[in-house]
Amino acid sequence: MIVRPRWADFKVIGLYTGKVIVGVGLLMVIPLATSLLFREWNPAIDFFLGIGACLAFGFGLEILCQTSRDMAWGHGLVVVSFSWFMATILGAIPHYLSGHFSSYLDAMFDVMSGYTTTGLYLLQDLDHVSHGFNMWRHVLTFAGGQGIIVIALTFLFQGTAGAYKIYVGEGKDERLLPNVIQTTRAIWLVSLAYLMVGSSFLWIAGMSLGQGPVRGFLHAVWIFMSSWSTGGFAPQSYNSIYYHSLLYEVITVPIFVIGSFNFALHWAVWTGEKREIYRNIETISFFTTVAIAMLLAMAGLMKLNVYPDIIALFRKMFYQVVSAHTTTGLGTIYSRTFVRQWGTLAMLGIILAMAIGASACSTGGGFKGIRMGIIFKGLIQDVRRLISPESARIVEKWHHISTRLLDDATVRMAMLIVLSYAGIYALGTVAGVYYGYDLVEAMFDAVSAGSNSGLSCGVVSPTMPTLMKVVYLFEMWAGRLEFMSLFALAGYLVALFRGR
Amino acid sequence: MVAAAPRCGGEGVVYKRQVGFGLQNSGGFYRYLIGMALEVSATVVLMGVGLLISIFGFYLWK
Repeated sequence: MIVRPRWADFKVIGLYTGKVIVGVGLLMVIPLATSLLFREWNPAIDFFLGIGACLAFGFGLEILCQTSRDMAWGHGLVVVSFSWFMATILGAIPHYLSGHFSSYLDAMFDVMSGYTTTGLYLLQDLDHVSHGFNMWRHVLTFAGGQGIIVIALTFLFQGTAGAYKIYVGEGKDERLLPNVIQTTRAIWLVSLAYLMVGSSFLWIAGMSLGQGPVRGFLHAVWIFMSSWSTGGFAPQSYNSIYYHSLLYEVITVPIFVIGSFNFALHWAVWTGEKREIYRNIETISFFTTVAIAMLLAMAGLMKLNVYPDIIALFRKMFYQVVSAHTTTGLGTIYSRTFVRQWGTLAMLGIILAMAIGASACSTGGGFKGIRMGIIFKGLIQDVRRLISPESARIVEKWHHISTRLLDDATVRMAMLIVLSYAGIYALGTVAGVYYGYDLVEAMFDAVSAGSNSGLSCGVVSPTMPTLMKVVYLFEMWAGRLEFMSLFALAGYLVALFRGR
Repeated sequence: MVAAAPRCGGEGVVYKRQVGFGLQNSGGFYRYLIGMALEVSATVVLMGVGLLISIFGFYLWK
């Protein structure tokens, strides 16, 4: 029997959703300040309206849904999926008012792409957007990378009993410290420390390329936010090609590789567990699968003789593969180059890299290295069981922060999530093929959306069919939240009509 | 890190180190730097692997 949600349940969900939306409104203060600083009055008005809408909605929900009831697991998951959805609708107000989008759906697509650190965009005339609006795009992706819920827990929640229940719903289910609010603060400490260091290097690099101090600073901060959050947005439509600089590439690669690491790994390494960096199952999995993807891409490139020398081959292949595997989406080749020069085999290498993706509890997307590692270990365990006597007890261990015994429930859970990802990748691919795109091209952009990568071979554009925009938007949302929150929201909706 | 700290708070006083954001047991600034350096080193190793694969592949497929 399904239990129909009661008004008291909606009050709990409304109260915490309201808090998160207030957080989104407060985030808009950063681009508003940027607009005011650069005397961009029209964008400033857009942000005023956006802040007003978020605060009115957020505080309105908090007042309407005042309750002292504790949050249950179901509530926490629904709060996450619902608040991400509402944050997308309300966050799109400044986008739509900027005049760079042909519809509100396109604006929502870009906001969801930002929050989920995907990096695909439908914005038109990117090279002429205001500083304030560019700041908003990159703040979105930086905030989304750490998690909207993580922000709310860090700055707006104090000692909330149900904090862990909404923290888990956002796909970050690890505690770095015993207290979940301290955990979220540790996540921010790591990110802000890297923000200062990484932006400084990029600023120096930008100025050495001839950018003025202000422009160099803005580009440095934006590219850092995009790289660290494995986002893929850039202030120019040529993305990383715009800089045409080996130095810029050498600085951005470590930022997005480190950004794709599990925050629990960061915290372990930062607090003295140095061996964790090469013992962790995710690091091992990442190095193995990135090498396989590089081999595939390189085989494809060499077969077609795309690059004339080793350095050109390494520079282009390495950047694209690592950007894809960390689900960043920054690129140093044009979108159509994948189709016109790289060819099917190299594209499959990139698709594989995007599908597997980054680490769990990181800013990245995809299946996640930990699941690949667990499934591989599960396979090894099963093979060992098959060749051992029936009475033998086969024990497989895996290491992530601590060494654990592999059990069937862990393997089953990892398989379920990987299957769910495969499902959304297939959904996007079918939609693309239905509208007449080539299979590999449709798969490339569908996997990119579902894994929150952001590389595109040219399918994503403002002119693509509306249904494909909706499918990709759903893929980004589902992929980032790792399904459970969405399943809970769907369950609530079903229970609303079918429950007793 | 929990430590007896006679020089900070007198005999027998036990304190928890707190660094930025009020985080407890976080280990200290120099450990953060070592951690950052280790993570950057891992990326350099990855670049080395990529370069080796490129060299290997370039001559193998040429």
